[in-house]
Amino acid sequence: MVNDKKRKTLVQFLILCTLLAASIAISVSTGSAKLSVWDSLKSILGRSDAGDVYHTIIWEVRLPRIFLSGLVGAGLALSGTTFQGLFQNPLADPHILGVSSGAALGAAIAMIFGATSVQFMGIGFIALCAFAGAVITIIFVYGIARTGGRLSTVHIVLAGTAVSSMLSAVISILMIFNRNKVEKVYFWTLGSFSGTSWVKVAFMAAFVLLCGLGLLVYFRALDAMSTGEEAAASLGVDTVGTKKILILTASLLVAACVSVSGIIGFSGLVIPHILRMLTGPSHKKLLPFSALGGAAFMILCDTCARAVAAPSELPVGAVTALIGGPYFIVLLYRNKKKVF
Amino acid sequence: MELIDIRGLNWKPGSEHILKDISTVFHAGVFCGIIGPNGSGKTSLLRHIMRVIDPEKQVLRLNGADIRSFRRKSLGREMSWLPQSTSIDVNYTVYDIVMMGRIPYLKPLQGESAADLAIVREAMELTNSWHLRDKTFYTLSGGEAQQVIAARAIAQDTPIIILDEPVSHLDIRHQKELMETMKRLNENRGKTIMAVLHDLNLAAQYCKELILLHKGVLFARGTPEEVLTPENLSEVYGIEFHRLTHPSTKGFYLIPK
Repeated sequence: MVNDKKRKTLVQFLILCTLLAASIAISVSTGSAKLSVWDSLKSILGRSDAGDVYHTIIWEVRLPRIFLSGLVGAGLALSGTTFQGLFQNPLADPHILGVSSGAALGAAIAMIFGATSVQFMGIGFIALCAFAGAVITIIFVYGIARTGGRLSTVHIVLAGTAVSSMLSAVISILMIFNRNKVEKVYFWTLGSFSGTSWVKVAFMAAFVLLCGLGLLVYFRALDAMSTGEEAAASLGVDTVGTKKILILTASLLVAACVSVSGIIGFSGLVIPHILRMLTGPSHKKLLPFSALGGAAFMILCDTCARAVAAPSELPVGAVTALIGGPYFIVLLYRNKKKVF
Repeated sequence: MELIDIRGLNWKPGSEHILKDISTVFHAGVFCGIIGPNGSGKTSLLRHIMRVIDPEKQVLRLNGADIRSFRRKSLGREMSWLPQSTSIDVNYTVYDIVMMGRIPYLKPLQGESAADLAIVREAMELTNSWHLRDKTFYTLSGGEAQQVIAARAIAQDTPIIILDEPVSHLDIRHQKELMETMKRLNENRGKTIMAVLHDLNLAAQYCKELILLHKGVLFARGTPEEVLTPENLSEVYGIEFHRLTHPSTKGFYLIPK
């Protein structure tokens, strides 16, 4: 029985890896410059005879964008998985604690008041402000929820929702007084991967790896917590400590994702559900599998976003919902089992 | 040395005392029932013993050490818990759920060993739930679910097993099976069982010792014979009882007048 399970897990893992590789291949060969998968591969491996232009297109434009979207997809899926398990709430998504609203406010302030040409180690001023806004919001929400000592789950979700609404209100008011920036801020919040650099990729990779590992260490505690907090405590899980670490780690990951890509909805909510339906709820599998699935999904969505209406781009957040939504509904419809 | 030693436990979360100056000891290997009407503080007492609620310093001692000095994980190796009922919304299999009983023994990222698998299997066989192993937990009936959670508590392999109204939702056969399992664990493996029970006859039949709580105060303590007197019960429950001799066991049983 145990070996069967292991084999099944391995097969699922390989399928997800193949899916991710395929999405990268599709994405790298899609775009205004016509390049076949084969040419792209040769160019990546440095054996290109297609000329330097293609090499540049692939290495400086497409690949960073593919990696960044994949990493953000993985990050959002990881944090969504964590929040759903931790809060025992199927509606939890990466944006539930208001982190993204904080990032949006940071970005809006940067666009309105900021010197947008300022850069820090190759990361733009807007992204930096968004990250700062997100981190401040985490500290704020966490501080509110912690009063009373036990860090109750209901408290933190309510605090997050309240803070999120407040910040959105502030953004709206800022918009009213700065109508010339409305469009820019609005498009930022819809999410996009245009204007990517390898520095952003490195920044994101560091967060996904470190935070992802940090979450994975707690896979067993997360399993126990998702069956109820009191049960988890009786199984020897330090529920308060676990909540602290998981909330802060997952929020930090969201902060990083949102600051480089804007607020991309839906994938962080739905990818964990899809993977839970396909491979089961155990977080030892669910966390890495969600990361792989989230990465592949985001790469495909971003490819659609830039290819469908070229030369203009669709907001990637709209594409995630348009592609993911129907698939999720079909799964919901066909799956006789309970989803969560 | 006493297994659990409580000295002057008070709990006053609001304006009224839920637990008032409770002092008592529990010895290792006992099958002890905690009885009393609704709101008398039974579950609150258990929650302090499990340290879901923190007692004052030095009030509650486990194996001679202040319970507050224990890390959660080591408490998970001391006592396991079987609640009244369990609802789990996530689609874990029964086997996954019972395997969670091994959490206190596993390091982060450490895989389950063959020994863990054997312990889980044995626990499930003890509660007749091995055949359910591949089912999804939430598809089980209340009785089956309770067998599975009991298996998880057994797989946790702790010296103390805490039962919080374990049979209130079960049919009579499942009630008997569960209580018999606990009795065997107590007699054959020396497990200490602490059980909040509402059914006084069940308490009389299985427990070697009883604690009767009344309005947060320890009202009586002793053998079922000593505690379950019509006088005590009418004082605490506010209704009169007949105490009759059981026709076959020569023990006694209680029916309300």
